[in-house]
Amino acid sequence: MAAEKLRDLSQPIDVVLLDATVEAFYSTGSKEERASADNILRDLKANPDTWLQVVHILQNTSSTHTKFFALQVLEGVIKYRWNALPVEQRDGMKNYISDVIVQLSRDEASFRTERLYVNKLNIILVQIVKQEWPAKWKSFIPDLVIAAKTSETICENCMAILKLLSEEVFDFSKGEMTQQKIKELKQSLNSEFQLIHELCLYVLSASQRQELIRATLSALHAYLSWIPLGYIFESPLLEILLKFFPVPAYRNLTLQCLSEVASLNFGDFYDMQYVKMYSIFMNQLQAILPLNLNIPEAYSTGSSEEQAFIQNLALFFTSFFKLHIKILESAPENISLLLAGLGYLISISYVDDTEVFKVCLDYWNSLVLELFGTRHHACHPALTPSLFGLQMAFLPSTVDGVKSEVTERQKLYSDPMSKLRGLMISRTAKPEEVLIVEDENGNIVRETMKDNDVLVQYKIMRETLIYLSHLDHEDTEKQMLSKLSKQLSGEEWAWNNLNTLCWAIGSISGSMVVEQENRFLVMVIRDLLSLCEVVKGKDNKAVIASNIMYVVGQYSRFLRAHWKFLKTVVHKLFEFMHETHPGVQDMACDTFLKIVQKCKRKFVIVQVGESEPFVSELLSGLATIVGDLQPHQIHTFYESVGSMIQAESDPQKRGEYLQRLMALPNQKWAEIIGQARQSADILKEPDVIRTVLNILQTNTRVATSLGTFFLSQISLIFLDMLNVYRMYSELVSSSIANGGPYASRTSLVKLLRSVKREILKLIETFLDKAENQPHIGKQFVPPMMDQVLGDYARNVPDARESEVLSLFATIINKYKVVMRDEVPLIFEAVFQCTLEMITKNFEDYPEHRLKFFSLLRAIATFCFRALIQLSSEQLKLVMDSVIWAFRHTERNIAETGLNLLLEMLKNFQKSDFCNKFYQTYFLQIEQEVFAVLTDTFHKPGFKLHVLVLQHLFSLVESGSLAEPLWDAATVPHPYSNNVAFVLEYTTKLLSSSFPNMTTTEVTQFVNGLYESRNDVGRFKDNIRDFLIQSKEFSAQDNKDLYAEEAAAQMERERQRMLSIPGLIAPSEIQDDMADS
Amino acid sequence: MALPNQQTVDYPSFKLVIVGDGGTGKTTFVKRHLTGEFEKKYEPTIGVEVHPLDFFTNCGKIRFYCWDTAGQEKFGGLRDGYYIHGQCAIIMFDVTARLTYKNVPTWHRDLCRVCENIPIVLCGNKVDVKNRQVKAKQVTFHRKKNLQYYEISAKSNYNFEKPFLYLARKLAGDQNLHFVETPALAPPEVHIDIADQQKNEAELLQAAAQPLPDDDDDIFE
Repeated sequence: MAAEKLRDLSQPIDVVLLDATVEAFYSTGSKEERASADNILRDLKANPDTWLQVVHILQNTSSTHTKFFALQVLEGVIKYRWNALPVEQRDGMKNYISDVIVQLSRDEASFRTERLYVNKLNIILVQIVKQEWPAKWKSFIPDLVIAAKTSETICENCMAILKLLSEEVFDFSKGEMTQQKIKELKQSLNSEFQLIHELCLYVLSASQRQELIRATLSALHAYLSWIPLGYIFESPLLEILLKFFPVPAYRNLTLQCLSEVASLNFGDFYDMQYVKMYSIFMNQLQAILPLNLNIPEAYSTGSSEEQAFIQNLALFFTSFFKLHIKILESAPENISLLLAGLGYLISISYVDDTEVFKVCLDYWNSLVLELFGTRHHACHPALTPSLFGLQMAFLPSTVDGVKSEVTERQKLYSDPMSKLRGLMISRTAKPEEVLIVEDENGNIVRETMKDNDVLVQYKIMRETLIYLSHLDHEDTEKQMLSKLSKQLSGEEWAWNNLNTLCWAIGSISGSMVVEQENRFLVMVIRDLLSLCEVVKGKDNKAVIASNIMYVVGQYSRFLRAHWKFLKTVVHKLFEFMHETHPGVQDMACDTFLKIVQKCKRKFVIVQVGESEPFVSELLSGLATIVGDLQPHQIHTFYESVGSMIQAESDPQKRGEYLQRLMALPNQKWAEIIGQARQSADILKEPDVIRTVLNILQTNTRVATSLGTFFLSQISLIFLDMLNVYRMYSELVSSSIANGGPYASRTSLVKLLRSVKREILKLIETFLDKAENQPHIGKQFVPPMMDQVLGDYARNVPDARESEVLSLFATIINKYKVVMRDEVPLIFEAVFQCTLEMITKNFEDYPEHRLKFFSLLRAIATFCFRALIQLSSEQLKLVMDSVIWAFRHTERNIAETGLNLLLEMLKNFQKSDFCNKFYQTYFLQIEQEVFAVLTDTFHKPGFKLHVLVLQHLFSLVESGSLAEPLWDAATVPHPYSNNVAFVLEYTTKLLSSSFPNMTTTEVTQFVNGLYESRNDVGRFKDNIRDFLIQSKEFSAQDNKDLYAEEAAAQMERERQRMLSIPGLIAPSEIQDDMADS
Repeated sequence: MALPNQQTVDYPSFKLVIVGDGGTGKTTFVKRHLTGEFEKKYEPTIGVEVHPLDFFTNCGKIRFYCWDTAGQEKFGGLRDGYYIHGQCAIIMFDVTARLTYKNVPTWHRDLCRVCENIPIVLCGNKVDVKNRQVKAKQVTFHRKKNLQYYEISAKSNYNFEKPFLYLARKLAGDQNLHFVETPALAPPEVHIDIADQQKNEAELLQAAAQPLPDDDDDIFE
């Protein structure tokens, strides 16, 4: 391949060939062509000598892509090696880049066509500025301002550079520069801002050029969040911004600037300016976007630019109101504009876009909370507003100053709040989300989303609606009922509208006083039932029925207080369970579970006029009720009944109910086990395996709701279940051993594994839910030692279930020290064989990795003594595996390893083995942690790396260590103490790992670490700075202080350049020739 | 609009750049669309991998050339060089790892410095995992930047086509564009929401022997 020639950097690079390679990369050649071009380019970029050819490339190519590539190479040098370059070379580069920028941006045509190139040049220039300014390029800002005044396109580009500079210094400096450097740059930019300010004002008042004005507004936007306020409020700036606001081309940019100003919050000094800004703004807004305009409609048909405008408008209003609404409230002449602003925001809230809505919602939530809070405080000074306290009635409070102020404020907002109720009711988010997913064994499972943005949106809306309901129950009720009547009249009848309305109705459950809620709910149900009668069509009626069930399911207080109604609802659900039309049975079973969980006691007591508790009646008819249900629905049903039984306090009755509940599955189980005793082969029939799986799943769901009370049932099947487990496991193992890699994908193996996992899940569920019963752990673990753990070890690796590891982690986390005696056995079974699976590389068996280290962590946390009792070889194996864990680049595994390490370090410090442990492992751990700390692959572990190092540095001086950490046998002269030894060791370690840093820098860092060991904030900052320094070649500032090292480095750099004749920037060549 | 030589198919195609920290699931997301498989192992991408991905819309077929870039700094290769001529982008973070969200502004900055004014979707991946670290409420970065945001799960295929649909609509300038044929996914998964579920329910109240109103009236005198 010709392009391979590019790798030879001893010759001037063949730019034509480079161009061809770059083009091959960007255009769609074959996959292979692109990959090989990518390869060469990546290698060239990584080669430390490539940058010497940058100017040569830039001067000889006409390809923008190649130029971009060359600048990328240069970027790396500026970031990491700049200060090690000779001053002439730095100046040469600085001037070259500046010149090219000026040349290109002077001419409108080239400025537009070479946009990509110019942008990258700007970035390079700013990288240079970050190194040179202010110390070595004091006049940078004045230079820039002078250049800006020479031509409008240059000026436009200067604005782009200024924007980049602000971003680099204020928004993206953390972790890129040392703390001191950041501080210095912020100060310089702050003190030079006056010049920039003047330039911006000058441009905005003098220029007519759209691109220039846009670039200026965009640069200003970057500065507004941090510049001294006087520049904003005591200059014509705001006025100018407002003047530009109505112009379509500048609308979005000015609005972003104004939002930035609106979100500044520094006391009340500039209140008047804020009022003025708001009123001018509102007057202009009404001219360009009349309040009566249908904003949602405008949004849905608008261009991207127009849509962004409406979103920016929402951002402006919400940030302004959040901080400054009270200033507007306090002056009567501003009230109408304030209300108009809220009117806009309500109107924008109806826009059909979730993100726009969320912006508005966040504000509505905080406003309503504030209004409710003041009211609540005035009425019930002793109570803090909380959602739990929302149920009490508000007593009419005595007339006092606070009260009248509160009612004033509420009166002021009563109209917008009423509109807000309408908004919330018509946009309530979906309260739950069920996904249907196929798991890896091919089973279809229903997965409930627990914590996603839609659910969070529902929660915020629910909270908002509850506050709104408290502010005015009547209005809330009226609006909901009127919406409902519009469903009846057909005016708003649509499935989605009805769903949304019922979610809203369900969401305010518990917010009204009991009598009001009862009255309200009865009216709602009555209306929904009438709706069901008037609306024709099966589908429609089904939607309404579901909604009725949703609403009643939400009002559990009502259900608990009205047994006959509750019973009717439950019977109705049982009827639905026979309606085989898809979806109906799921709805019925899910609603049943939800209702039972909230009203369980009602089902186990004998209700007035009845002869036995409902649960007993239910159990008598069990087979009929579940007769038409699918397995997964039966499981849900069983969980519900388990929940009822759990509420029975009489152990004898509970036992009897449980027995009756499990009669069917137990009978089937006994049948299968009985037949298997005759001939085990029956257990291999797919239908039988499926039945076994189904029985186990039923058990798991009942265990979930019954907790400890499930003991009698699990005891009944436990030993047989372990036999089935072992038999299936051996089958899986031999199939995989004989059938090769594809055997694990056969449906039989998948089915068998499903059973294995379900058994582990059942045991885990039960053991995890059993509360305060240490003997249960003691009783259930021994039989599993061979059947589960022994089996795990005997299996071929591909047949091992990672769930075995998590089961034992759960057991140890739950039963803690009680399990200590079992730890050696657990170790013996899983340790060696799992390590063999996961130490060949960092990728295979990802689940086993994570669960193995989680198990280790559980042991180290709760059964630490068991670790101490290990032989030193075994302990070494443990420590090696901990280190192996945090060497992973996979975040979760590395994090588990580091947490485990911290746990062990702390426990060993407290133990009698402190000295021995640290003498053996201190240095190794320190070295390993420094290795990952300085490796960018491990960035996510930073916080934990810091904690480990802090532990180590604090330990050396604490009283815990009584003996020297160094090995007296190999160290000729003893150190005065461990501190001296560790500091010297660390300095040596880092100096040899980072030859680019001077010894003085390293020593300073190490001493700094030691001094800040008790202050985690400073300790962390020190390390952050070190990480930056360790990547860079020594800084120029230090060169003056440590001239010798710097000179040596310069010489090395010079030698490197000289070794490649003819490749140094033209100006440098002459210098060198003159020298020689 | 397209790159020179890029148009190898006779229907519209676009360069889509996918960026974000290492381990956030960019490659898994693309592979899930390509082959349906869900890869559990973590093997960092080196440099970039380009995959064509076709979607069928009511306005015809469109293709995204997905530039799946390396998230790991060390394997970053040409970094912003990969963004050149990007016509749309996805920024991915992992809702179970805070740092990956913290770094979103940096990815966004680098993208915008090369590709000015392209439609961008922010995706919070792994929402199926319990104990997420980045709460939905905390995700606000995209608002000021006018980006779209979706929570996704490459594992459960939750919202899996949403980012592409949004980008397709923006690129086509047609808000009503929709996908007409779900690209083949194995294993196939169904997303059921309550409204859909309700569609299929039928004749429930008629089937009821005892209509609710009567009981209802009994209870509240």
